[in-house]
Amino acid sequence: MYLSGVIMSKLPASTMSLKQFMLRTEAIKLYRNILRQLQHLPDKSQRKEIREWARADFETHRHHEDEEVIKVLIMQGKKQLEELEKTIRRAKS
Amino acid sequence: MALIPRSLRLATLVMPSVLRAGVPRACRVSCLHTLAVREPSTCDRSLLQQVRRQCLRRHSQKQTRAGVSERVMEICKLYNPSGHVETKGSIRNYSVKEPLTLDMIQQRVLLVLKLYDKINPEKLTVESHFMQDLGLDSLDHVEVIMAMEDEFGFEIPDGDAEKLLRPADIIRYVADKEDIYD
Repeated sequence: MYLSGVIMSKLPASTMSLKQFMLRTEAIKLYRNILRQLQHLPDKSQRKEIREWARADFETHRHHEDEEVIKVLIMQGKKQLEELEKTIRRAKS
Repeated sequence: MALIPRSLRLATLVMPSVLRAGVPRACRVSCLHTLAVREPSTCDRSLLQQVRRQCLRRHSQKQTRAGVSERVMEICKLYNPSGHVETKGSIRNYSVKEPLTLDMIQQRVLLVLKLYDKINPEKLTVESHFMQDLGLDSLDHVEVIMAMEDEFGFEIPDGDAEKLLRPADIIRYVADKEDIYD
């Protein structure tokens, strides 16, 4: 126990726990998927708008520390991504 | 899709009009087709050809371009799980690529990064780290990688993307993918 205490203190203070790291990765993946969906949209100015809107959303929620809040926000983001997908499909057909 | 038996699906590969024919004719054709595929020597080829000719005669379709494209689209829709098929998208000619050298890749990567408004072009070098030297955050990094995908025309998977933290890494990665060794 003492030994693990010594080893832990050698890691830098900003190291995240595994859960936090996974949530962060989820958020980044969500952003990437949104950007990829936007590639399918034919109108370039709309693309820029939606990209900036998404980025602003992510920025407003950057500060959250609580796991549950982050999970809920990621779920909301995924739902919005699905809506975006459907809209783009309809716009193209 | 599951309602159509496997044999019918196989038959539609041979002859798309079979889909409209209904089951009995299709089964005949498909059984013969499967037989022909599995044991080409033993199957009676003439019988298979007769059945095919019959089907064609009954529909008496002229092979117009529109007709052919319609049939192809039907098949594609059946095989495409999302059901979303395009005939005309943006055409990118991958059979002809510009010649790429390491130097050109480096120039293109640096150009894309200079055009990115969150990067200060004076601080940009090949070895500068995105997050530590250039002050980008992870969302900016995602945008940079997407811009690289656009520039070079191939997708970079998530696992690889998170490791590309300097322009030098990106250049090496693109060179690997395009098999450029000089």
